[in-house]
Amino acid sequence: MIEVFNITKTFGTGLWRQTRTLAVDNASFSVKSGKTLGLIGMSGSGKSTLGRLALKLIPCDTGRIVFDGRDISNFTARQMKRLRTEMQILFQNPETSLNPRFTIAESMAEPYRLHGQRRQKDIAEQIDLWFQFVGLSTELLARRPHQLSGGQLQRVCIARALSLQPKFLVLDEPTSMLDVSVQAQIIEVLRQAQKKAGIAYLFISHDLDLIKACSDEIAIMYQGRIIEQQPTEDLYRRPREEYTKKLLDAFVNF
Amino acid sequence: MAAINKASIVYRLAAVILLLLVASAVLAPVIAPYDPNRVMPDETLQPCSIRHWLGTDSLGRDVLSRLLYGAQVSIGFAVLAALCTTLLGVSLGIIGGYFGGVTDLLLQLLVNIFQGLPGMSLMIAIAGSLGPGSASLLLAVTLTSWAGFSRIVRGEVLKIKEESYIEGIRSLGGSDAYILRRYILPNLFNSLIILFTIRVGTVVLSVASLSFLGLGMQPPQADWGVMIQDAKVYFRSYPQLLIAPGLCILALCGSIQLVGDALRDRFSIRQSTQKQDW
Amino acid sequence: MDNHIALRQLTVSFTTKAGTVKAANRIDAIFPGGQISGIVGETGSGKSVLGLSVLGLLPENRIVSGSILYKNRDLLQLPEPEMNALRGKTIAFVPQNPDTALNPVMTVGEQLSEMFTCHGKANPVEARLRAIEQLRRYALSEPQTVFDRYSFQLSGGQRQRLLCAMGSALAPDWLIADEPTKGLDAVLRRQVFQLFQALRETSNLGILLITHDLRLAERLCDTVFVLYAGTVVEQGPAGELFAGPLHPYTQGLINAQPHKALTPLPGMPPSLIDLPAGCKFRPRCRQRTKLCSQEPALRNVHGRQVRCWQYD
Repeated sequence: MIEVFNITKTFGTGLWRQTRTLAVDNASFSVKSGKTLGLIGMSGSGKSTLGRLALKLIPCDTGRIVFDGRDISNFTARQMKRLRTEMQILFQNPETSLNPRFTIAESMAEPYRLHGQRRQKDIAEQIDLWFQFVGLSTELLARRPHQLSGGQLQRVCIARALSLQPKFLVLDEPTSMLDVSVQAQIIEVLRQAQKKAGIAYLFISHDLDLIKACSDEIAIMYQGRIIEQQPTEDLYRRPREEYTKKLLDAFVNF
Repeated sequence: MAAINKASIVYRLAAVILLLLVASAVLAPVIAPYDPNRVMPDETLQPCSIRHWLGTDSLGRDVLSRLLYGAQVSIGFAVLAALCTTLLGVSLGIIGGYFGGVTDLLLQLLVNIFQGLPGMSLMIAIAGSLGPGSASLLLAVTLTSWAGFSRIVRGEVLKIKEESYIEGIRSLGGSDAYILRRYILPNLFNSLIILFTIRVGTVVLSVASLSFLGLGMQPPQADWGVMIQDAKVYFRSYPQLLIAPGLCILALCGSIQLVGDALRDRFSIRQSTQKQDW
Repeated sequence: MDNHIALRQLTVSFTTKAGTVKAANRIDAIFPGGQISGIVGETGSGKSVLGLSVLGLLPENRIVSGSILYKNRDLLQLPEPEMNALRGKTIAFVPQNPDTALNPVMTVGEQLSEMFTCHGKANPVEARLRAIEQLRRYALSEPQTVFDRYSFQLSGGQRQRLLCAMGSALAPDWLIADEPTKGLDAVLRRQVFQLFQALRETSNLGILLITHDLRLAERLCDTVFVLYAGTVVEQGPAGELFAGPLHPYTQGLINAQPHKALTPLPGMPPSLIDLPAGCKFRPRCRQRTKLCSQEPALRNVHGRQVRCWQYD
């Protein structure tokens, strides 16, 4: 579904962009439809940046991105806008992911407004369906984000992302700010969505146990580079790199 | 509960006063007993009486009528000037804040220059050199105040731009124009209301001061500031000539700020999503 | 040397615009001195309130009843000056979120030395020496350099260690740690774990660990109190509790962890303003019966205490 080759991104800070930080260094990965690639790294490893680069939310310095067979590396903004419906992202903090001034209904309607669908009745029907799918009551539609819990908000975000029927979804630590029991609920919703629509997931996290439970393949990220990528079982049985072994140890023997 | 009630009484009072002031401005031609510029030479400097509720000034003009017509000028001009300042300040603030880069640097330079200039002196300079009249007054007032607006707006835009939900809309396919229209501008509303209402009050005072110096509205224009200027010679013996327009300015500034406060409270949605975790 | 902390029928509520938040309901608990006790709960369980109550740091709109006994004194009844003398020196606090708990305009050294000059009555020179020693003890490499840095120049892990260093600076009897691993990744979490373990081994400190991190509680704590909707639903020795949880909530919580079954618990915890009658967990419990419309009491079962009709 999506293949990313040799992506590099350097950030420059300072007035003349003189201090350069290498965030992502020659990273490559691929995810097939209906499968989940878990991307694990500690803070500062560049994993969130890589997720955004894959979606072209940030421009990359070098590298190629092939999405659904098409090379989108040089797509213009207009071409990307049409493509946006096929690739979505779910953020870490559900409480800041929605405009606090909009009602939930207005936030849910945004994707439709942005892509030209105007029939109010159709939009409302679709929103109801998605809400049912993620397990939310439609009475929440009239509320504002500060009135919902973290778990509820994350479900709204999932519903919104799914309403565009994407083929690829980047999950940027979607549950790290949620309680354990809520996390399990959200993961269940995501599983259902993947089963139903065959979406390819890039699951970014720093929790290896979570990634192990959710991913078909795991990629280990360290200091901007993907140092190892293997199917989940194989990674646990035969880790190749030293860092991978250390990481596994930190989780298994904690 | 008691505190809330008391506060809303104040707001309601302010709204009523503001309404009265605006109504008198609009209805002045209908309710003013006399033509504000009608000179009645044998009735100069009259105290409050049945014929002239607030007396007459040094040229025999009815004070009440002048106040009512003055409301038109003062309020009308103040709102117009505040609008101009807002438009200029907001557009430049948004352009600088949202797009950043060299444009922002240049705009900031401009803002710094304008803010560094002493307001009153600049106003006097502009009004003085362009000659008195409403147009130069408008220019003077706008040019001295847009920079402060712009700086505040830029700060707000910078803050909003970084919010996670902006990135969310971009990932859904939102363009810059869309984001500016639906996300940035509405979120500026809170600050704008307050800035606008404060601005109206400040303009009234600035115009009054300029008129006092002879650079603002020109006599025989019935403007509250001009009335104060006229009254300065006589106010020891005829204090009502000064107090009446002064109170009107006070009422306008006070009520419009309180109403602005109330509007902001009414429309502001809890921005902070920090929930209390017990 | 009996410096245990005992909560007796502790009830804490807050008056808010939305209603009365009943954050703690008649909690009885004993935290033994010199051991690590864990208060485990999710958002909305009321666990943070317990820590703040012991330290007398509850916000203005509180309504408190019951008692918190420490060395034969009721901490809730102590006048503020005495409570102040206790804080930091005898009962210390390590707040959550190292990013916001440290003063950004004071250097590390200034903040740490403050502990010594304020409470320990040390002079600035002494305070500096003791501060540097404390930094060294908490594995903040090059303590002299760190002393002059600002908190935002330190990494997340260093900040966490600094908070612990500040907390234990005056060798208190008790350390209350509020969510020390919140927002930290696995590597840092392990460091925090090792930090607390070292603390326990090198001193007779009692630690009250307030956390939602079950694995941390499992590895670190001697006794665990599981909190749900302001009530203790299960308490006992950590090893046994985690190996064989008795209360349906504890069972559900443990099973929901990624390294276990990742089975979701249906529903949501109740709002602390609108608590249901009877057993607070009833709406979400798969094992509920008619008895559950009454709130069960804590019963002793297999060396633990459980609040569930199954064991009555």
